[in-house]
Amino acid sequence: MKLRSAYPSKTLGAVLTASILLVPSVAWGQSLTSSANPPSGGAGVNNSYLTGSGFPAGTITGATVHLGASCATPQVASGPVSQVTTQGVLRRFQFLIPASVTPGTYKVWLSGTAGATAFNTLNTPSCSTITVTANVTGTASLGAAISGGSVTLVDSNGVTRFATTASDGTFVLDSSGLTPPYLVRVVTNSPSGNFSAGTTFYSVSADSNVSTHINVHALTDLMVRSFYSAQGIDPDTAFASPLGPDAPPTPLAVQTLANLVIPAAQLWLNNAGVNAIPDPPSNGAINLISSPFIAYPPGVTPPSGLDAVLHLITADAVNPVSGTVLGITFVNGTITETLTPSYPGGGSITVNTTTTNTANGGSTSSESFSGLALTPAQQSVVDGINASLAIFANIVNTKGGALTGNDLLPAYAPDYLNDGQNASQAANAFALENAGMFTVNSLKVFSLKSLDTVNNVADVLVAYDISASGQEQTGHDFEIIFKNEGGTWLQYGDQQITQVNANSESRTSEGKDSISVRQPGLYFQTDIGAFVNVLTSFGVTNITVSGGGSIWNGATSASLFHQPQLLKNGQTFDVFGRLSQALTLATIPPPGTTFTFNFTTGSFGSPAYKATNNAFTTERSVIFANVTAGNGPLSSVVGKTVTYTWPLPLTYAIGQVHLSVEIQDGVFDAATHSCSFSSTNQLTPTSTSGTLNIPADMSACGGGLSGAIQQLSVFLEIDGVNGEEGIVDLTYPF
Amino acid sequence: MVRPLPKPLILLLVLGCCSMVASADAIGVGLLTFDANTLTAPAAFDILNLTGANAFPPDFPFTTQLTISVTNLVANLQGGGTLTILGSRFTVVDPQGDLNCTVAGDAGSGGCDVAAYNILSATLTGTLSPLTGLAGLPAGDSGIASAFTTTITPNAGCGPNEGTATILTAGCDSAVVNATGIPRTSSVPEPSTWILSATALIGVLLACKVRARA
Repeated sequence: MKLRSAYPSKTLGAVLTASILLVPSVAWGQSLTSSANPPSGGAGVNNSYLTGSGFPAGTITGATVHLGASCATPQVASGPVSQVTTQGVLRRFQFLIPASVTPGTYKVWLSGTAGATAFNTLNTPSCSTITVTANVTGTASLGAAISGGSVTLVDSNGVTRFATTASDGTFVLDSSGLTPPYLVRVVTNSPSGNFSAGTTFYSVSADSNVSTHINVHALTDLMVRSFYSAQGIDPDTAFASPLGPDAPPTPLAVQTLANLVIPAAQLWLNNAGVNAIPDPPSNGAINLISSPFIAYPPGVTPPSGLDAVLHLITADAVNPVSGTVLGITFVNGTITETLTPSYPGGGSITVNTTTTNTANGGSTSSESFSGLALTPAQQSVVDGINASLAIFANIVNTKGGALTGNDLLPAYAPDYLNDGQNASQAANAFALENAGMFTVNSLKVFSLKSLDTVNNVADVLVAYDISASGQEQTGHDFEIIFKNEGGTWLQYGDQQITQVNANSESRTSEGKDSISVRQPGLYFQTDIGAFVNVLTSFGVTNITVSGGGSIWNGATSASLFHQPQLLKNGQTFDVFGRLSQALTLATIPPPGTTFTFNFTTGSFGSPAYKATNNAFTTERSVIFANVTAGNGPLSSVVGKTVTYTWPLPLTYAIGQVHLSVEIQDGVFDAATHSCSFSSTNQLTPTSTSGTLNIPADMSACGGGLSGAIQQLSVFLEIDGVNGEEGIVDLTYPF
Repeated sequence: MVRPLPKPLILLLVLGCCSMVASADAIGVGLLTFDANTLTAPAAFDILNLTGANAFPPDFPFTTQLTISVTNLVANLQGGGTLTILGSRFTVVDPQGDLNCTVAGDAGSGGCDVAAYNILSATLTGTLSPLTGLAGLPAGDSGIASAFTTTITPNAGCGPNEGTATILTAGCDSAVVNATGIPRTSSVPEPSTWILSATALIGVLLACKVRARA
């Protein structure tokens, strides 16, 4: 049926005429307001909003703002729209002013898709005006907003700007014409809490943008003061004229500093729900310096966030002569953490922490973190290593699934040795494990752990960004030791046939432990556990450990016990281990104590290797909750699926929880074989239970083993993010 | 045979005649926004003036630029209590008459930053000028009232999972600022309205007439 046959033409014409007259006019293009609102803001720091109408119907996706000198291409910068909202016929677009834009006035236009219809306001054409200012914003807090504080910014040329903090601790400084990096100082003009008027906090820019955000608080103060103290420079002197050797830390150096301070405050950051990272903020993670935060007024307890952490700082002592931070104290109820930096020389920084909990009989955890104050003089080292990493990444990406050890071999020093592997073995192992598995987006130096300028050896933490199966993965805990050989920084390894470990551990033994002669049952001790796994091919016959004082059964050294051989990944290792005598808070060596391991080998001479102990905890809460003493024959677990439960420790931030079982085919000596299996379920730092599939016999180890399991140990490790180790050893039969 | 006009179409025509008249009382002149991470503060209220060069007829019809003056903004806080931001903290920030809260510092201490507060809603009161001689004034109105009041509440789509939050969300929530149109005092319909009504009625009557002949 045709419409025209149904209605007389005059009727249809009248209806259409009436409709055209009555329907409100339709916008045929998009129109934006004359100015963005707010009409000005700092590049890379502030948001602004575009408002307009006439957009096609449907959800707007992929919206992008473009900035240009005029309302026409070419653009000078662009950035994503972070949010689109609707208010009647209006659409409102939130965007962060692109960081790359220099100060000035720009026209802004929008492109994107509404529903299935692409739009570009340049087609109307319609643009808004925005003025990009150069400014430094920030928030100053000492656990309460610093109101009326005197703010001074000095750039890398010594040019200064001044401001006063608002009641909420915020401040804004005009940074036009300045050259980053910047140092910022805030001096309080009134007392607050335990802090007197005149308290001085320093901070530094975390990026190289002219416009940026710089928070100022006790943790940024620790970073800046530590940077200069490690070089023997008074931070007050450097701030007065930050030129030459007194130059402010670069963004990379700031990352290194943050990598020391964040783990030191990890317990409190975790409790406050703060995911702090040394890198630029992303995906909900904040940067202590460059992420805006709310500073609450005096007298208000912050409910969460960074200010909740700062609010717990009850003392921040500074040496009035040297400007060095003496200690920072956090207090929350029965738990107190004291953070003490030290500067052993050579630009090194060590941050020691001690956390005590007076509840439940008292317990203590102690940690130590070390790194370098990365000065401009070391930049050439970083640049050289970054160049080598870029070549390595290029080889991996170019070869893809065809990657071989020979492809990678040029990245390894000819005298490479790392935990028993030479260059060919290491290159082959890397290629075998990773060929075609991922694309390297970037590899670059994250921080220098140490630098030996005599032998040109650098211990580096590498930041990586890789894509695997469409997923991007990033991290900065990839440790590589480089050596400059022939002008090129090559992977050098640790020059050891194996790693040696001297771990401070809070150990609970349950069941029958054959290592020491003691009665079955519950047994707790804090000790140093010295352990070495070394390939049998090196023919190691004896290892002695020394260090930490007379803690080795009353002596200053002792031989490690030659324990059952371990089968792992098709290789067989000689295992040596020993626990120190039970130690107390007063006698346990502090974190960072050096232990020496002297080897007697059949094929590698008599090397001596060193290790330092980790953070320690005396907390005793790491224990299996569902085990009854005297009720553990082998038959109760062998060949069975068994679930274990436990409570979590309270005095340290938990990094990982691991449950495993080690099975053995004989008594606890070198003639016995063993292998290990992890829990069937993936455990997280909050896991309080796990399940083990315990093999029926030794054939599960491979290597041609067979026969009955004679003894097995179930291990639970609850490690802190900063190296604390709580361990349970439950040995069957008992 | 000619079919009669369907009833829904007749209803549409009648509603079309009424639409312009019904919108005359509330006339859009601006947008109260709750902005995030601006030059002023992590969270602050701003007012976008949608008159003059920023007009979007017919919803924001005034091509004569109005001056918006703020008396105050009273925020209702979660858990009770209010927070008052005085009009003196709002400043004209561009030639289009946009009016932003620009005083640094916590809103409880004389500034504009409300980041530390959970706000259930906020009511903005103020005045507009000029009141007469406005280009774009809807037919049937002789001018606008000086006083205006606008309340911003959590918008749909601004909450978790694009739902509605219980408190305002910086960077997302907004509310239209309306002027109140003052109807002409004449008790008879305006000529323009008569013309529109007559046009529609002609169409309807024509259809009825055709139907009768059939």
